[in-house]
Amino acid sequence: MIYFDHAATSFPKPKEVFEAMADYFFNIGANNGRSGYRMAIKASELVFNTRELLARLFQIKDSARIIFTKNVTESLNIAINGFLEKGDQVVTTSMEHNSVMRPLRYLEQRGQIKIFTVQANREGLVDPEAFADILKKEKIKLVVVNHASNVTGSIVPLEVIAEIAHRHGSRILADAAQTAGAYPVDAASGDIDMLAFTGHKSLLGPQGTGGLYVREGIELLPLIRGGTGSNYP
Amino acid sequence: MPQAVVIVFKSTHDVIKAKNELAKACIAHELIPTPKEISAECGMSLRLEEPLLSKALDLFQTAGVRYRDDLL
Repeated sequence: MIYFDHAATSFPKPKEVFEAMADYFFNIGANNGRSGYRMAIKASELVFNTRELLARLFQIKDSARIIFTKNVTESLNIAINGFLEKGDQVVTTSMEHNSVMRPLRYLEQRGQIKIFTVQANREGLVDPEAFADILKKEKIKLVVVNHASNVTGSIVPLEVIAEIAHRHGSRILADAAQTAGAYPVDAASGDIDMLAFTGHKSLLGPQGTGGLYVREGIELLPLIRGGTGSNYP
Repeated sequence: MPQAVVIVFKSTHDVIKAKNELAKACIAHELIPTPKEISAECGMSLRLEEPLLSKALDLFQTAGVRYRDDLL
């Protein structure tokens, strides 16, 4: 059999993935951040080291700004719902995945936000100047772009769009579902404010893993509350 | 024996970062469950001897480790 569905999920995963998961279940087992016994410390170190590796991969200065999620859909939902407020305006493209379009459309249908869409051309490419045209006229809080399309494979120049967004006082959320692990994703030189990624595509991890980088200075309203100890609000 | 101090951190990430920084600088320390008298967060904290505290805090400052100075 030849597997041709890597844009959906990578297969087969490297044997190191199974070994790492087996090592966790056999030898570590405890919860990250739970108390101070040896197993819990090991689990916390594992999470810490994973954050550090991801920070290196994506050129993120402070690995503490990375959170782990179940998948990139959850990451995008946290970013979109946690950042946008009633009355905000958003620019996105016609090349977005439904995990961006559906949360955005939901907020729009509820009368919370207004969406402006940059149309891609026949090759699936978007013109960065089209973002500038909208950003010049409208007060936009967030630009949401798919780094690479799962349908056409077309890649957008993130750093160019980020520069345009920042010039007009807007923030940028990049959906790196298809590119993380397959194509360079540079949050530092790309000047990316939020970066959503999944673990199970080109990062070669198991399903049920993903994450979100949130630049310092951006505070998101949480989607889910509780579960991390009693002291937090 | 010198008095021991307990340092509480803003997140588990910061505890592990602090532990790594102290290990690199060969400063003796111990990870402990956060004492319930200090906080109900059920996480971990760091204990070290009082004379080592200022050196440890300098290290944390440089490395960007976020600790609870309000509890020190």
